[in-house]
Amino acid sequence: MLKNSNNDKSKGIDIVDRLFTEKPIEKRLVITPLLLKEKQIKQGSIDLRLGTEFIITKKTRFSNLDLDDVKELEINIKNYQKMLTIQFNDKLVLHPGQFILGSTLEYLRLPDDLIGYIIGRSSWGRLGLIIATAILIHPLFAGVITLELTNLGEVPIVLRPGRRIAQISFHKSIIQTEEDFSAGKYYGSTHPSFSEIHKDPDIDIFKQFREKKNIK
Amino acid sequence: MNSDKNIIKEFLNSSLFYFYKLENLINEIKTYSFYSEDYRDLINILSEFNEIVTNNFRELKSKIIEKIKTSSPIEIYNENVVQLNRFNLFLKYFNQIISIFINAENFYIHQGIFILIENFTKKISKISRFIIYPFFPSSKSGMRLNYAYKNLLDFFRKFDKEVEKPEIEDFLLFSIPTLNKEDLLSSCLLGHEIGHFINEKNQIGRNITSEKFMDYQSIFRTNYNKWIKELQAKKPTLKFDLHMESVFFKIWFRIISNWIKEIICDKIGLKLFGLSFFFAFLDFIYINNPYNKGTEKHPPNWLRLKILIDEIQDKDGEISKFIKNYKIDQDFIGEKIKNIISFVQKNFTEEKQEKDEIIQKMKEKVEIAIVRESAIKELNNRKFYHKYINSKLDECIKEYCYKFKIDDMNDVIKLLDLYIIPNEIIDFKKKNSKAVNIITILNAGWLYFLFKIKNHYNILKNLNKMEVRKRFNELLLKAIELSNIQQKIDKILKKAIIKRIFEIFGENNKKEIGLSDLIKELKLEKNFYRQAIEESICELIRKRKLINIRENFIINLNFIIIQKLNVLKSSI
Repeated sequence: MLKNSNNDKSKGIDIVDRLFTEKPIEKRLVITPLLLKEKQIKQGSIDLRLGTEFIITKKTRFSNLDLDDVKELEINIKNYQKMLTIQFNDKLVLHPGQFILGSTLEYLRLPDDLIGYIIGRSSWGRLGLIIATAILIHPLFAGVITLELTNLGEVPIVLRPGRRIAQISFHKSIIQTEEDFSAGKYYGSTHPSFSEIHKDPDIDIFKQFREKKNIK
Repeated sequence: MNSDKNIIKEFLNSSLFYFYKLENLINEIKTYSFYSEDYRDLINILSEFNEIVTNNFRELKSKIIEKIKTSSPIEIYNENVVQLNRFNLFLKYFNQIISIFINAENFYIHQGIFILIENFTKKISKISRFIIYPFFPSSKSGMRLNYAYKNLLDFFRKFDKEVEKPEIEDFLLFSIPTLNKEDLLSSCLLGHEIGHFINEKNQIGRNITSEKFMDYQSIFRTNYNKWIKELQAKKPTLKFDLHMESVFFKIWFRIISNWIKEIICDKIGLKLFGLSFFFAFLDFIYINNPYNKGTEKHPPNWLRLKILIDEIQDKDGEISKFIKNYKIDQDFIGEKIKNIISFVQKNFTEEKQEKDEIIQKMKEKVEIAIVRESAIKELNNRKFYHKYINSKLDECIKEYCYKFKIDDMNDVIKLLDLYIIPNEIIDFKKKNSKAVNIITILNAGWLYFLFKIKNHYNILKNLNKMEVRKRFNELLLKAIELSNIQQKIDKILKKAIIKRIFEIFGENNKKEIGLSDLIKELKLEKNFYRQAIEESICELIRKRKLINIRENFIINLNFIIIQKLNVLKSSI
C-alpha cells in the first residue's frame, strides 16, 4: 500500500484506498486504466504509461514564437506542430535532440487535497530520455498529462505506446483557495495538448506596459 | 529480324519497369498515416503478390531473351503469349487497387472510430477485412476495391496453383463522410453499413423479395389500372400501352427490393447499436435532408424513421420494453425519448409528405409514386418483417446485439457527469475493474449528450459550447480506445493464466487445491486476478477442456467452479 512520507498510518493518504473505495468524488483519486495494477502501483509512486497520440514539430517559415503577438502566436503554434497517432505497442523513434509532445495513456482526476508530481523513470533517464519539464499537476485536474519528450542521448530511442515511461507521486496540498472551482486550459484533455500560452491572462498587461513605454 | 527482337526486349523491359513502379507505389502508400490493421493486411498481401509476380516475370523475361538468341521472335511470342497476357492482367488489377488509394484524400482520424468498426466487423466475419477510409469521391469505391481484389485472387488461382492463397476473402471498404470523420456519435450510422455486409452475406433481402415475389405481382396487378388512371388524371398526356405493364412491374419490383434491403440494414443497425443508432439516424436526417422523398435505391426518410420507431415502440406505443434493457432511470430517460419520438412523428409523417407537390416529382420518378401508393402498407406490416428477419438476423448478430452490452449504463452516465473517462467500471467491493463495452459507451454517450450535456457546459465555463461538445466527443473516443486496450490485455492475461493452470496441473498431477492456493501458485495478487482466474476456469469448463482432466486432479475452487461443473454435467 502506498502511504505518505511521515509513515503515520492513521493520517496517511492511502492511494490504493482512494482508487478503489466509493468515497465522495471530491475525495477520490481516479487513474484509468491501470492495465497491470500490481506492476504499476509501487511504494511511493504509480507508474504511468505512454499514450498513443503525439505532437511532432515541423520545419516552418516563421522565425520565432513571439509571446506578445497573440494572434500570430496561436496560428504559429499550430503550424509548427502536427498530431500523430501510433498504435498501442507500435513504435516511434525519437532521435537525439528531437523534441515531441506525448501524453500518458492513463486519464487522471485529482481530488482537491492532492498535488501530483510527474517525473521520469530512472531506467529511461539513463538512456537520455527526458519526459517532463512542467511536472506539477494541480488539485482537481482531470485529463491525460502532456509529456515533453526529449532525447538527450547520442542514439535514437524507440518509444512504444503502452510502456511504463513516467511515474506520479502525490503530496497533500495545504493551499486551498476559496474561489469557485474553474476548469483550467488543459482540463479534460484526452490527448497531448498544443501550448495555449496565448490564453495567459497577463500577456495583455505586459503588452500594454511595453507599448506605453515605447510611446514615451 | 533484329528490330523485332529489339521490340520484344523493349516490351519486356517496359513491363518490368511497371512492376518496379508498383513497388514504389506500395512503399508510398505504406508511409501514409493510416492506422487500421486491416489496411496493413491488404498492403502486405499486395506486396507479397507483387514480389511473386515480379520474380516470375523476371524468369519469363530471361527465358524469352535466351530464346531470342536462338529462334525467331514470332515463335517466342506465340509460345509465351498466355503468360504475358496474365502479367498484363495482373498489372491492370493491381493498378485498379492502387489507384483507389492514391486518388483518395488523406485525413487524420481518431483511433476510436477505427476500433469501433473493427470491433464489429472482425467478430462478424473472420475471412473479411475492412478498410476504413476517410473520404472517397465516389461511393462505389468500396465495391470497386472488393471487385479488384477478387479479380486479383482469381488471377492468382490461374497463375500458379501452388501459390498460397490468403485466408482473407474480401476487402470491403467503409468510407466515412468527411464531416463525421471524428464524430463518434454520428459514426453509429455505420451500423447501417455493417447491416449491408450482413445482408449481403446472408441474403436476407433477396430471400424476402424472392419469397414474396408472387404477392408483389398480385398487388401490382390488382392496383395497376387504378394507378394508371390516377396518373393520367394528373397528367392527361401520359399514355400507357399493354407492354408497359411489364416494364412498370420491373421498375416497381426493383425499387421494392432496394428499399427492403435498406430497411433491413436500418433494422440491423438498431439491433447492433441500440438507441445510439436511432439518435444518430435522427441527427443525420435533420442535418442532411429531412424531407427527402426517397430515391430508387433509398426509401424516403419518413418511412425509414417510422419503421425504426415501430421497432422501438410496443404495440401500445410504449417504449418501456425497449429501454428496459438499458437498466437506467426509466421514467426520466423514457419520458424524454417519448417526447423526441412524438416530435419526430409530428414532423415526419406520411400526411405531411402528401401535402407536398407529388405531381412534380411524379414527372421525374413515376415509379416512386407507384410504390408510395401501395407497397408502403406492406412495408409497414411488422409481421411481414419479423417472419423473415428475426430468425435469420438473430443467428447472425445475437452475440453482438446491444441488449447484451449495456449493463453498466448507469455507472457510465455517472462517470460522464463527473468528467471522468468512461472506459472502465470499478467494482469497489472486489477492488477490481472491468472494461466497459463499446456499445455501452456509445449509448451512454448519446443519452448524456441529449439530456445532460449542460453539466459539462458548467464544468468547462471558459469554453464555448462547440468546444465543450468537441471535448465530449474526444472523451468518448478515448474511452473506446482505452477500453479496447484493456479488453485485449485482459484476454492475454486470461490466456496466460489458462496456460499456467495446465502447466501446474499436468494430467498426472493429482493435487487438491483451493482458489487462494492457486493465486499463490500463480504468483498473482488476490484482488486483481481473482476475477480473471475465475473467468479463465469457467472458459475452460465451457470449452470442456477441464472435464477431460478432471479425473486426474481436483480443483476445489470454491462454490463457483463446483456449480459450473454441476451445470455442465447436467447439460452433457
